[in-house]
Amino acid sequence: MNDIDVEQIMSEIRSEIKAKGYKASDLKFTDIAIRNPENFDRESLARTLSDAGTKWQVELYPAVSGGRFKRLVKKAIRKLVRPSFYGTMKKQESFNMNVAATLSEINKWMRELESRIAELEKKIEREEK
Amino acid sequence: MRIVQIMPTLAFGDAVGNHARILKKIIAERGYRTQIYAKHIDLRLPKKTAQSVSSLPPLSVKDVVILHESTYSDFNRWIQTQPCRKVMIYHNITPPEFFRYYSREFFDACARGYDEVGKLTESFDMILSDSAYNRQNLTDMGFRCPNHVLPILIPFDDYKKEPSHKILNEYGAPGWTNIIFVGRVVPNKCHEDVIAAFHEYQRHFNPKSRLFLVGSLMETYANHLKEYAARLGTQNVVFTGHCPFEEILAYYHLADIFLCQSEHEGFCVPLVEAMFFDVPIVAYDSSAIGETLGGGGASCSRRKSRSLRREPCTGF
Repeated sequence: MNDIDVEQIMSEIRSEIKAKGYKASDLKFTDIAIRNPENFDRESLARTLSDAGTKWQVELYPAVSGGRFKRLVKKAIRKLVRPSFYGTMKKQESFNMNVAATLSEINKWMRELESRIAELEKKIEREEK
Repeated sequence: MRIVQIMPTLAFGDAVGNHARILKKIIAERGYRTQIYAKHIDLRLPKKTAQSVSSLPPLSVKDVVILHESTYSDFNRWIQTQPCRKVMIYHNITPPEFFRYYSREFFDACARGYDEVGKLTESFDMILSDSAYNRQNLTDMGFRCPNHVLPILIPFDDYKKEPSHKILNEYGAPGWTNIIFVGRVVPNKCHEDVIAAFHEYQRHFNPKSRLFLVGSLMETYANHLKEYAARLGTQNVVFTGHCPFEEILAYYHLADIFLCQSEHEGFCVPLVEAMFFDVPIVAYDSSAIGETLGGGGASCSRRKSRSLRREPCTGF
């Protein structure tokens, strides 16, 4: 087995680096954004909010399927039971609307905070200079 | 008296799985009735290697149960209800912080694992730690039962098998310097520092060099690394992904140097593998790496970047 003097090898390498003026790359691993699908996704939030903003209403009489007779029976039944679920449906609709409106407001508030943070960051940067 | 080993997953070719299999053989050779029970058993393993934990018969006070601890599992609670003698083999749990920006699932599993292990300080009659580093971790958590170091058992005969000719033919042309690191591509192993070091080596010293990062990928982290290598302009960085054992053997055969910058290892089997193949090792002396290396390679005790301590950019 050969004896290797690691310290000596390292010292030679360091001298060579110094003599040739090698410099390490400025790019740091932490400078690169992590693209993690689990992280916050603004696009996805915008899509979901837009969906919630337009689909909060509960359809009372969706289109019925089936033949002419079946459709007639289904329509008759839902007219008969209408008084028992109409109130619940309205409450659900009101709740959906409140949730959609609240989420929309939170989103606006987040954007407002974001721009305020950006302003403050710029201010700190300016003062640090 | 029966001696049973319990683990969440018995994987094929994985260090903990190999350890359990060799231990089972040793225990059986000593004349004890023994079996491995796992929740998930890799189908590539020979039949009768292990049984599903659902078929575990009730344990008596005379029995011994050995729990392999490496992440969160339901067995941490289960073991406290058992009347038998209890042994824990501690493989260490990766600090969750490493996964914060890459995988919520891993972050949660490791955080819960730490939390649960911390509650088991009075639950075991004996502990076998893979390294003195692991033993110290448990002492710091408050474990006071007998705690011995039993290094990971490695099936060295497997490494004498034929390496993949496909890989040897693809990369075996003379004139190239091949640097390798073997291990799952996960943040605690700090592949970014391997890439950064390789980049400087390739740029200033040897353009005809290659870096093989051998191991299964955590996608978010691997993509981050790939983008880093691309933006640095580093050439010939090969992410192999999960590959068959004979391909891993081939990469060791091709290797000129094994470069490890891992920041957290409870043992680090690939270092021993590199020693087996007489591949020179340069490693960052963190966690259990120094003691696993045991003077069998060059270790450095300082470096410039530390992934854990600096918050990466997470915006888009």
